[in-house]
Amino acid sequence: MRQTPKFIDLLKDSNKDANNYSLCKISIVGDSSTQHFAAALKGQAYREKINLDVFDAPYNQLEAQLTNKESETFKHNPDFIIINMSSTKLIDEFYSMQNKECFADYVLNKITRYWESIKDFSNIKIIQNNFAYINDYLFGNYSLKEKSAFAFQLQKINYLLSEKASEYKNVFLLDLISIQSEIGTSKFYDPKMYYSSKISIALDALPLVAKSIIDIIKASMGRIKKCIILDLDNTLWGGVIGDDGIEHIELGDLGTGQAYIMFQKWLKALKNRGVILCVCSKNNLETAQKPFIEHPDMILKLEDISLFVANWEDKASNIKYIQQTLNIGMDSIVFIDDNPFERNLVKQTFQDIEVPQLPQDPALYLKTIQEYNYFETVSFSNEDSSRAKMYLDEDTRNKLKGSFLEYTDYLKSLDMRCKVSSFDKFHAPRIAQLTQRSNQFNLRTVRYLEEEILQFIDNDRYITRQYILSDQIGDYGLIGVVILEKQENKLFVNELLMSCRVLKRGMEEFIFNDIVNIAKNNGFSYVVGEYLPTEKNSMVKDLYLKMGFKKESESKFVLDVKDYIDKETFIKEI
Amino acid sequence: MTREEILNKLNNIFNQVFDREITLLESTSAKDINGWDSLTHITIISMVEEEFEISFTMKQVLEMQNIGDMISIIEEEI
Repeated sequence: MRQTPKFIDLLKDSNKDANNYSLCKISIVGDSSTQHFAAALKGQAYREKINLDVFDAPYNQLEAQLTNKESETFKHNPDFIIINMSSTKLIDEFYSMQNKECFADYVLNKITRYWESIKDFSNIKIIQNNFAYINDYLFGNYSLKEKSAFAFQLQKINYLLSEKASEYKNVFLLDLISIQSEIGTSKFYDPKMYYSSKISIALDALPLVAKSIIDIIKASMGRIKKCIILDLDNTLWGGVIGDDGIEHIELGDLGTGQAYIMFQKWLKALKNRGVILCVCSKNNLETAQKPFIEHPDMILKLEDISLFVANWEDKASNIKYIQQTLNIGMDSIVFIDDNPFERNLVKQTFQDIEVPQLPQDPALYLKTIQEYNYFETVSFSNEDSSRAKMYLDEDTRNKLKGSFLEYTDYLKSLDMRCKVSSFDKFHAPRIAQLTQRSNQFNLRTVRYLEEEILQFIDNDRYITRQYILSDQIGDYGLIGVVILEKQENKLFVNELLMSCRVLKRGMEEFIFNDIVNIAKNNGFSYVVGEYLPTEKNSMVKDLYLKMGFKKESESKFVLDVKDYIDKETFIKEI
Repeated sequence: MTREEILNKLNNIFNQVFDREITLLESTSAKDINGWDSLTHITIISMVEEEFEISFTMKQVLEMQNIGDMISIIEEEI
């Protein structure tokens, strides 16, 4: 079983001063008592450096709190509403229902009515749990195929929840079933606690539930993992390639080799869903790459690895190199190594990197890493699957760059083309995702959901721009987003961000030329920009000054469009 | 385990839950300790169950009046 804090530890942390951490406001509305639930959430948030401001609605007020715009739930002005519904309450309701075969549809109607009502109010994000499993054995196993049985309806509810939630971009499902199956029903639910105090999730289970919820909140704040750096020997295969040779490493359908195969399959699936895989190994490059090229059972191939680093330097330096090349935060990297010495060295050098404690037994690698739930996300777009290819392209570009003496000659040789337009529906998921993921080249770091992005399209108070870049090596995809707000004779830059993949390509100059052109063509005299500092966006601190804006106040910058001189770029608009 | 020993262990749990030094007596009840509400009561019950590896019944949870009651139940169960 994985190591989790005890409820009492979270309770203690829930009272600690979190004022220095980023604020997140939530309202909890439940059909059972949620006091302990709220305390666990606060405690877990504190551990993750989040200042959670909680309104915990009185027990069993879903209807009153969620369908009344004047309720305390809404007055709290939350970023998230946590809807906590219990299977015990559900089965209670089921028994008094006449038409049992319609139960699932009835429950879903009720839940989606809550979602709709919240959506009418504003774009508050919702975390809704699925329902822990209960079979009341009224029909024994037969319940599973009997439509009037609770187990049948319960499973239908859970299926329909997923189906419905996929239509609501602001709804995130909390997988209670996984937690229940991990720790077992008797630890998850304590009937005595329910009857005496209406507690539907046992205190033993709360730390896991709290972790899961805070994981979702973290992802919504842009705190996500983008890259895995892998060791090779005894991590991706058993044995040492340099000593044992390709014929003798453990890998394949027999014996211990199976565990490595399953691990690799999962890694490959992660890569296909957009997580970057890199290798960092103490080896000769040729020796290290050999299994990727020649071993018949190897699942991961060279093209799955965006950066392959094998040498005899220390791992910390190599990881620093990978991080700088990919241009991502150290806190978005997970480092996987079977060797505790290397793990400690890396963790001590870089506090922010995630370094899971791998168990001794390779059979348990996969389960252990999965339980950490590193790859929580609040969006998924088609571009995710091509991300690995983009980083490979970047490697090709770096090699090309080396062949030029003048950087501008290199830029010219890339033959960059940019497709610019207003936001469209097709790209809304990617735009929303960029607002959630971008931390460094992001002037105001306003995070938007897909639904909010769609609302900008039809709102004529705003002008929106999306930038899709490609060059002779490959496609970068949609890498820039601008939202301009019309304010009399000024355009206010509500959102300006760019993917760090395209830094130093002249893209920022291209974007500013575009913004100023829009202002001129639409009769605006000024462009007003704002820089809101975060821990990560200091690289754009002076961007507006560099682009010729004048400082107006602590955070605001103004440009008189008459004074703007078009910046030179080597990007053609298409 | 003597009642005294059980009391000491309970005192330990109370110190943790209330995050301060508490002086528990057999006669101590909820009204004597600032902050002993339904939230902390459940937390205490659950920690006592873990510490003594016992499980209270629903009736016991609801009807326990003071620390003396709790000790008597624990004595019976272990």
